[in-house]
Amino acid sequence: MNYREKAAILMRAARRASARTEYLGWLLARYRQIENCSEPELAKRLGVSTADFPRMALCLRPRSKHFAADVSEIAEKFGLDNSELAAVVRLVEAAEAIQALPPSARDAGLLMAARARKPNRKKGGSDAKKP
Amino acid sequence: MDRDELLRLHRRLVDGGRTASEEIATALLGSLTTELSREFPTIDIGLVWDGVTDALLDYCAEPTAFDADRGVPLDRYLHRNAWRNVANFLRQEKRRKIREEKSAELYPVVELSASAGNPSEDNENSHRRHHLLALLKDTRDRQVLELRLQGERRTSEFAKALGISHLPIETQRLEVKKAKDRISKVISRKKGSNR
Repeated sequence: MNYREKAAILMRAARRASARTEYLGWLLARYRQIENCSEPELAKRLGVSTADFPRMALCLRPRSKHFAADVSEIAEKFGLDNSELAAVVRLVEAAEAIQALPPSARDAGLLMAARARKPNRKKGGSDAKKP
Repeated sequence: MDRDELLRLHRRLVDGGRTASEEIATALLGSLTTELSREFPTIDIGLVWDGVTDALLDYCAEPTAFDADRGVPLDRYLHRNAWRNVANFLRQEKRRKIREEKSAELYPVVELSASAGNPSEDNENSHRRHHLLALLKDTRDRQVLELRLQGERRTSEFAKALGISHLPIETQRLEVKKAKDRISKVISRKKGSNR
């Protein structure tokens, strides 16, 4: 098997890993979906070469109980910035957590987050300082 | 990579190592593919690739399924699983072909729609399309059928019609397949009862 064939099968394996939640490839694919970015853009953000990107996708995703150690292990292997990888993983996990909520709770949470705060007139909010 | 090294990687994987899966896959993808493609010389190489890949991904996600004490080396264990996957794909492929043949009988409009430009055929197609759509009561089922009649094949489009785009892709595939099968059954049942 030559180099090109090996690269092709590695790409295909990475694509299949992106459909399995146990793999980092799944997280990377979800991140690209959420942030609407291409594979080279994400590779650039993480500081990984496009050749290493499929290999990275074949790693298992970090476990929540060993998050820091797992992120470090992957980052060290591919020469990435720990914090960038951690940020990518966390963003997807947050989206996953919201997705897992029942629709009513999901909407309520988002509405609460989006609601503008009214200035508190009694306790001397910004409006109270006005002449 | 020798078997001792593979066993060392297996232990790392069992201990929770996150990168061992990549090392095992990189080491074995090539050799397993070469072996399997010799054993299944006449089939699409893509099926061999998927069989090998799935065997590796299944194992890495659940490494304790491999018992090193049984005396079977890891590469042989993965070879056996990959072989089984390819054989299953072949069976599924056969079933899919049979389904497609049945589906071609069910949806002759799709093939006929290629004859665009001929007004009498277009009218006939349109009539058939309306007739088939009228057999379905559910709006989403009608949207799915409409997409099929347009020749759409992408799961994402069917998922949109079914309102399940937010689900993981594997679940979307399953749900889309279920919807298609259900629609086919409804149509064939109603067509049968109309005859």
